[in-house]
Amino acid sequence: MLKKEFREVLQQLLYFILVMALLPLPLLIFKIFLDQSYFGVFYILYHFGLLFLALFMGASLFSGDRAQGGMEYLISLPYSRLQLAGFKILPRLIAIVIFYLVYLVLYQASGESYSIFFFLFFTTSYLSLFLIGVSLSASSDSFLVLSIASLFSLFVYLAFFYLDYIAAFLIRGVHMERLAFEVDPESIILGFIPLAALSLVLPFLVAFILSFKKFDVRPAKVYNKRYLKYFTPLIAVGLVISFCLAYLGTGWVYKLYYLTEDHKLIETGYYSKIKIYEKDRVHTINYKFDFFWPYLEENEYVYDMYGESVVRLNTSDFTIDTLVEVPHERNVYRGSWKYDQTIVLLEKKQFQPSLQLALFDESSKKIRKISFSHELLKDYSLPNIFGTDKIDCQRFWLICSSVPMDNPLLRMWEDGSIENIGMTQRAPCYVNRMLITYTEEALVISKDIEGTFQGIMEIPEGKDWHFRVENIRSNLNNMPLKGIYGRKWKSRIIGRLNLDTFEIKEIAEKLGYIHYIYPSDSYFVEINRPANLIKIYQLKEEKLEFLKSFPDFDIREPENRLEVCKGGIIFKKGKKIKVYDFPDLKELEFKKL
Amino acid sequence: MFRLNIDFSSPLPIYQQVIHLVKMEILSGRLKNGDRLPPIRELAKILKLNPNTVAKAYYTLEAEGIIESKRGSGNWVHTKKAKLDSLRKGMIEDEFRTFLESAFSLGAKKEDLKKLMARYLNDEQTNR
Amino acid sequence: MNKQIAEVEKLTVRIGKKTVLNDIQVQLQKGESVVITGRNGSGKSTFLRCLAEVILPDQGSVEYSPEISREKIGFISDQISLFENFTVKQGIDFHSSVFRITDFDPTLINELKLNLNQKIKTLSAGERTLYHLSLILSQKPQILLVDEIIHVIDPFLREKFLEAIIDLISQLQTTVIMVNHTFSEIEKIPERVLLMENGQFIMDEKSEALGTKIKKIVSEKKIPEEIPCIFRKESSFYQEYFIYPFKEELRKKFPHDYKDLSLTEIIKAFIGDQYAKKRIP
Repeated sequence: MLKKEFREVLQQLLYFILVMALLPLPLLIFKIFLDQSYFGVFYILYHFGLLFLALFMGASLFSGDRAQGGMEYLISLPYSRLQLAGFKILPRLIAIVIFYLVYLVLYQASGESYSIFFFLFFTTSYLSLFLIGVSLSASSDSFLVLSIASLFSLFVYLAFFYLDYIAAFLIRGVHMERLAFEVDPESIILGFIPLAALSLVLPFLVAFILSFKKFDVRPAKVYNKRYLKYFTPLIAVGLVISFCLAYLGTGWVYKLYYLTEDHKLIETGYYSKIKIYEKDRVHTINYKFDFFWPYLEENEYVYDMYGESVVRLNTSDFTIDTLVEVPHERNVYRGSWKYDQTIVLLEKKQFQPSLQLALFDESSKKIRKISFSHELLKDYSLPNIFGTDKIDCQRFWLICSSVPMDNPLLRMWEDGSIENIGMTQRAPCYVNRMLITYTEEALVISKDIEGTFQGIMEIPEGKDWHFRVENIRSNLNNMPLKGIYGRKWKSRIIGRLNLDTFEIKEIAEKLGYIHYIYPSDSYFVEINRPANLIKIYQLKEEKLEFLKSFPDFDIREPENRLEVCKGGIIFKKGKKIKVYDFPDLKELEFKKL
Repeated sequence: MFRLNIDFSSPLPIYQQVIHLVKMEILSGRLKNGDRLPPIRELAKILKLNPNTVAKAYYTLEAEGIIESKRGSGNWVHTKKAKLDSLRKGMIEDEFRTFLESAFSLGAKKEDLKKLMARYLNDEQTNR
Repeated sequence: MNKQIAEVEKLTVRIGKKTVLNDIQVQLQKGESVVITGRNGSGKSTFLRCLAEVILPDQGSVEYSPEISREKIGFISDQISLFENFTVKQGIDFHSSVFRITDFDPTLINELKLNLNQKIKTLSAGERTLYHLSLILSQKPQILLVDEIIHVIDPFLREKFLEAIIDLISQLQTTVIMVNHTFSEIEKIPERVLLMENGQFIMDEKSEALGTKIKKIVSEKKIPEEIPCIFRKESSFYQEYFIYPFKEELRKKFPHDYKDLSLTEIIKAFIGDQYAKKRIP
């Protein structure tokens, strides 16, 4: 019996493979004459083709037997109805799986990258449609009717499946403009997606099993009546459950919090409206992109320069401005930096010996682009701007790569020229118009003298240290620092480099991280993991002053987050938010939170 | 070998007809003592009868002492002379009775019948 | 011989609003030959299909005794359903593997001179019927169910078919159940006659007994009312009265020439009675 079924499946697949093989041909022609993005179109068609294959494989369970006039013979064989169904489903299931694996191979080869969200939706739809096809397979003698019913189910199923999530998002007040293809895995409980799909598919399957057990050669209407009898209540329950699951699954939309200096709490999330909480009020702002990430705060503005666009949120009049819109591209790396009224965006294509800077002027809203090319840029991995300055009215930007040891530091001038300014063992910084780099022997301080960076100071004991100002993404030249903090390499010792005397002083030995809130304050977050204890200290020159303890906080929990902002510290424990202001870490109340 | 005609609308049950057939064959000499009768299956196929019917006929024939059933080898004609004689006598009488019923229903008179009998029998004797 | 092999209880089958089989109750014995007959649309084929488990009833059941497995039931429907795209050989192999037959007897196939590589759809109705039968015979079936196909095939093949059935009965004591309403050569195979009308059995008699229970009177004049007549056929010369139930007392009380009837005539009388009773919708 299985042999017959395998043979039949191969025959049916032959037709499908033929269609799928012929399908790219017209697209190929398109490419030759119109130079369209061929692969992209083919890929969408291929996805739909696969979904249709799944449906077809399921629905064609009995079409071979019907075509041969062998239904009655089939039923008279010494197998139970469910055994017959099993013999038929098995080879088709195997075929479906093989096609899916082929799809995965093609996906890898194509270099496309879809989010896990899309993958999950597609895979569950693929399997679900197969099962729905199976459920419908016994319902009609005419293959035409079956095909139409199956296509109809395809669209209805997809509609309901996505509608669930769309409805869930809408109810939660989320934007739908760019849904489905770019959602971050953390924003939705992915496990709920297959469950929601299952609750829509199970009614079909269960109704099929129950009615097929009594399948016989009477006219289809007898079977269909029985099928509907089981199906109708089940699908009603299924719809309710799938919606509830979608709603629950979207409940864990990832939320991010940021506290401004004037104690306004900003709440953002994936596809959510932006909320700004004041003491007893909340303002809601519509936002058309997927996520607003508070990156930089300056006066009443909070900037998102993290993603593909530069967006500016005004926290006094609660408006939002898209300053620069940059589309996402594969294999292109972007970085950003802000100084004065300028936002600089860096764009580097992987494996290309070139780089582009886009200078956006906040007041004039004009963009100026400068291109740079240099052999060194070819293998330059993930370049970052870490400083900028103006010398003799010429501006330059300093970049280092994410692997400082492999690539030299580069100075890029306004006129398009690039200069190699040397290597460093560890990530450098540019403060007080001084470049701090590291060699194997010492910490080197350089200054620009007559157009080149020259070392003015070498501190041998600095060779084990690493001083950074990482969480500041804008220029510090306007506000010179008295000292910078850092850590002894591969140890827990924190210390300070005095930028006047160039003395290094050890301050304490603690596990945690330093957080800069310029111009002058810095804080230290001590993390005691085994005890789930967080201690906050203030770094005052060479002293560490204890501020407050926060027990019972497991920083490793994915739902727990500690955010140190310009205005204070936010502790997010699961769904509970607690906000403390600087400098004394007094708890702030937000009534509407 | 068998002149076979089952009359489906005769008053006699079929198995009786089969029995009659066999008896006719034996009495006519076409089947002799020691001859083997066709197996149940074969006779059923020839006559288009249910084998059970043929089996019943053979069984009855055996009970009447006309045939003998030997396990593993079939059914054989085995009629004692005395039985044969009584059988013959009985069947002839049946035939005769049937003839008389037919003749009377056609309106024959006893005298005509006697004359007819004498004439035919004389002819028979002459012709022998 | 009188061992029960199947029990049909309260069998009810509905198609849409129509009740095709209505609360049927009947038992089948091992080795018996049954013919199910009746008007067109009375439910005979549906009943046979229930016995083959190709139709599952809405109510009631068909219970076979434990030694009868599904592999021992042979069924030829009036569609002579087979996988048409299979070749003769593929059909044999398939049937053998499914019914776990190790020794397929190709006698019938050879007699028909069928080419092993020809597709089943190229066979004539008669060839197909006998081919299907040969597949079933190799199952050594305990129960054979045959729907109205006997008279669709030519007389030569028909005889072959009947001989095969007779062999089956004598060798395996197979219970044979046929649906027919023409009799001719198969007249004397069935021992039991079931007459179906409107989804129910209205008569269940041994064929031998039937011969004694129903007679015919041919007369120019009307016959007395007391004689139970179930059907009357008129022609310009005479009238035929079909008497049921016939009792020997009737011969004494109402002397007539009570004629014996063939099975075909008996069935015709009963069916005629049903038509007579039928009301115009």
